Amino acid sequence: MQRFLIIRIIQSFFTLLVLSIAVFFGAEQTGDLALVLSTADTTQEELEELREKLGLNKPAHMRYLSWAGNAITGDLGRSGTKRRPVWDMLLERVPATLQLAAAGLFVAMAIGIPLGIIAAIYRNSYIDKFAKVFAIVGMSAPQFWVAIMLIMLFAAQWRLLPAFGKGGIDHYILPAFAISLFIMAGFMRLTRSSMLEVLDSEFVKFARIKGLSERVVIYKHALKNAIIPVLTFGGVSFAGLLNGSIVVEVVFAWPGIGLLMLNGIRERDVPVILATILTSGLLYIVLSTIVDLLYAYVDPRIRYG
Amino acid sequence: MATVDTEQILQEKKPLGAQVSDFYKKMKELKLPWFPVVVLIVLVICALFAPWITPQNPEDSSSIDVMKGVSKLGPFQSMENPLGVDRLGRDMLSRLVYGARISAFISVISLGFGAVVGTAVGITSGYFGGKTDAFIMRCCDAVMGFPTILLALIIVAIQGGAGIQNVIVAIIATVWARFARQIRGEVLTLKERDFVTMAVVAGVPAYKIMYRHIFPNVVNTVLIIVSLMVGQTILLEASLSFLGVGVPPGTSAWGIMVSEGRLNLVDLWWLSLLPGLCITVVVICMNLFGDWLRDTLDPKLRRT
Amino acid sequence: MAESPVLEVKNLKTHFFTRSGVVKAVDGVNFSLNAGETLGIVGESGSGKSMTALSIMGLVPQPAGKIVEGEILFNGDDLVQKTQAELQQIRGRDICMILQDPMTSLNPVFTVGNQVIETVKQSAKSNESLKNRAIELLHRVRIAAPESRIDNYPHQMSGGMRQRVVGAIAIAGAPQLLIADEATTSLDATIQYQYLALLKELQRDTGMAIIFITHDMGVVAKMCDYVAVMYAGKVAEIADVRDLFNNPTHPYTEALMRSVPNVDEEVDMLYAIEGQPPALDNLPPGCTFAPRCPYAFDKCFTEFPDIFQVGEASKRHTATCWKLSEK
Repeated sequence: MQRFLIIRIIQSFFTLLVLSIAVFFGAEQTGDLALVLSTADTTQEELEELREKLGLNKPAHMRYLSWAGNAITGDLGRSGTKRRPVWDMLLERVPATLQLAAAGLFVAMAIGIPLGIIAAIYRNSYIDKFAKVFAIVGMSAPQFWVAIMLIMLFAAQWRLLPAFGKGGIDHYILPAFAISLFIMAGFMRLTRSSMLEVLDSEFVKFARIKGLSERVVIYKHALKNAIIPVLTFGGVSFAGLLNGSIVVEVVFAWPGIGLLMLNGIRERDVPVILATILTSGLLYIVLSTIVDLLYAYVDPRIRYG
Repeated sequence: MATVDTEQILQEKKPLGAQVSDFYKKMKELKLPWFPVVVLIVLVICALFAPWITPQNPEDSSSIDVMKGVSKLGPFQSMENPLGVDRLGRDMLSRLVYGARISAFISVISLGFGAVVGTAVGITSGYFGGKTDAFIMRCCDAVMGFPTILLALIIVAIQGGAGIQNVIVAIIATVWARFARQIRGEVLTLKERDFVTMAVVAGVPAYKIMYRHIFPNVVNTVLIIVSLMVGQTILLEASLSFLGVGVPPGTSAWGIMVSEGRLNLVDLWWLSLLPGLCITVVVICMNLFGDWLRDTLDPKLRRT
Repeated sequence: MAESPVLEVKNLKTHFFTRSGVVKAVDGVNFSLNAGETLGIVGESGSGKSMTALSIMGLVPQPAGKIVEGEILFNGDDLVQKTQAELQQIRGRDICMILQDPMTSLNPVFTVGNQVIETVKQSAKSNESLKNRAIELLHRVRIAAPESRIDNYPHQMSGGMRQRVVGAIAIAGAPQLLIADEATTSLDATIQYQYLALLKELQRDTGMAIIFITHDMGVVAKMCDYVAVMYAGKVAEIADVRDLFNNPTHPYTEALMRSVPNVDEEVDMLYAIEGQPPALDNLPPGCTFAPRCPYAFDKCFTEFPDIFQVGEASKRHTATCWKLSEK
């Protein structure tokens, strides 16, 4: 297990390195930081001075290394447009995104998994058919549209829930639901097919032969096996939720890194772009490593095998 | 008894009625999913013939009576604008039809090129193996692991911001890895097959082997992956448009239309509802059609 | 020998209703079994042996399958009439079954101990330590160091050991009837021998009846007192084991005996029965074996044979074949 962990860390480091290089040089293409920091009446000379000060004239690898060196110590530069240290901005925003993603995952699992289990047990019943339709629609509807429709109904028309911003639990409900829909469908489908497969297996047959009650057969034997692939999916999809968070953050004006990243791209704010992209990448890598570890823990064949 | 001329029988055509019922029987056998197919045909027609079939020019704001102010014409209220008008007075139906065109265009081009690039990479990587293969697969993993919108945004950012071209390149960059990985796996098994060995022994150059022998055998898989990815591609394009990094603002693309409708969610509710509904229906139909295609092409992939 | 049989199966018919027709998996099976006896059921794949066992357990796959006719009298009680809830009380306690592959019978994510204790719990007396009882059971099936094995996972054990665990689970409730469905087919020859010896010993100690389903005639010779030969869902011949081997009457039984290669003989070609078993949803009229039977005559193709007594009336030897009507 330790060996596994070490290999993963090395791989992740490598990926992050490549990503940072690619984004660093790519982001530089998008805009001249000096231009962004200057105003309309900055002269050419002042522009040149600024460039010199920012180190924009140094050779490529020097620029990258100095940025990377700073980044590791926590100095991610200052935002071109907002003039604040990027690190501070990140610190404010990352928790918000994580909270939204966690809420989304919770909702997706709380609804998707039970629905999948019931659909598998009562195969071909009305609830199974409803679940299937729900899954198809959930996976096909664009998240931003679902978010807007939710706002339209619950906030604008019926005035039940707030339409934007972060706050108490009621502020979480709509965004969490919007972000979770796509994944919820995935959970439902996966749980259903996993359960169906397990329900068909020999040890479930044997459990029935042993005379165990149907409830024990399903909830103890079948479920524990069926849940293993679902958990991996959960982990993978949590990382993917960071994906959907961008769009949902925009619609609900949720103060997370997605919104920060988007604005950075629009404003060609290079330090912000770099920092947010790398943070997202890092979050994703950390999460998927944790998932792989969890998986190894739950399945004793991997743990002791 | 007169001798029967086989030639004659082969050339004898059945009467039209019989031909039609044969066709109908064949269609029934195939179990085509009707609703998705109809929707997709409509989509294709919209995409190809948009300028000729739309009732009005989508740029035309003339439905506003400038004296009365912004028109609040909703769906099913007027024969001229069957689905209502937007805030600037443009006909919704026409805009939606043009939106179909844009979605179709972007999806087809990006998925098409993505498939080509991905397949080429996959075949090359799988055929030559070794360190190149390992490196390429590592890249594939990195790309595939990343959340798609994030990746697309990164690529858009690297290219310098919004624009149709950048969106297309971004989507291609997101999509190719899926093809590369799957195809490479198939190539690994294919290249051990006898007909490849014989070609190698006969001195056929590598590029020719890849092109003439390997490629035709992976076409099926390519089609299957395409069918899996279409829905996702349309969603990605719509999301990018919605975020404002896709087509220029004001264009009649579904994603943008949804975004425009945000300001008038209650009174002009159809502005956001209709284009989003279009996207949902099209993606549903694509997915259903893709399922059917996979079931017909390869029953082994059948799901519960 | 008990006076009344532990199990009596009368004219059991289990059919499957599928889109392509009715599959008659079990089509009129009769036998009875006394306490302490071992009945062997032999036949090719698809002959209905396993489905007979599942019918007895009340675990016919639904909704497609259904017991359409017949009685299964367990100590005089008809199991066909019972509800699933009642059957569930009987399973694991009075009637038990062992399946072919112990690796798939055991749940891979629970320890062996956990799974044995599950069954022990059902029939335990309240003040008994469940863990001790489990260890005792593992000891009974001759697993060394049972105290440490209790915490093992199935994949940490060998095939033979796993099958013993399955055996321990099966006898936990002190069943009156044990059904072993190809229980030794996946084991190595030497392990097989030990396992069969174990089963015989358990039977001697508890007096339980055993139904042994197999396609291996060698195992039949070693284990069984009484044998039923099944073909296409019906019993072709049923007899005491010695009578069956000395005097195989039904042509199918004859052919089966001949298919077993004799180690002492030198032959150029192994004997195989010509033809294929019939499709169970499209049975021919008349005797189901007739198309492959070397002795078949006209009547065989038109009417299904009656059951005829073979040899003296006191012997339990019957065969379903028109050949016997001429004698």
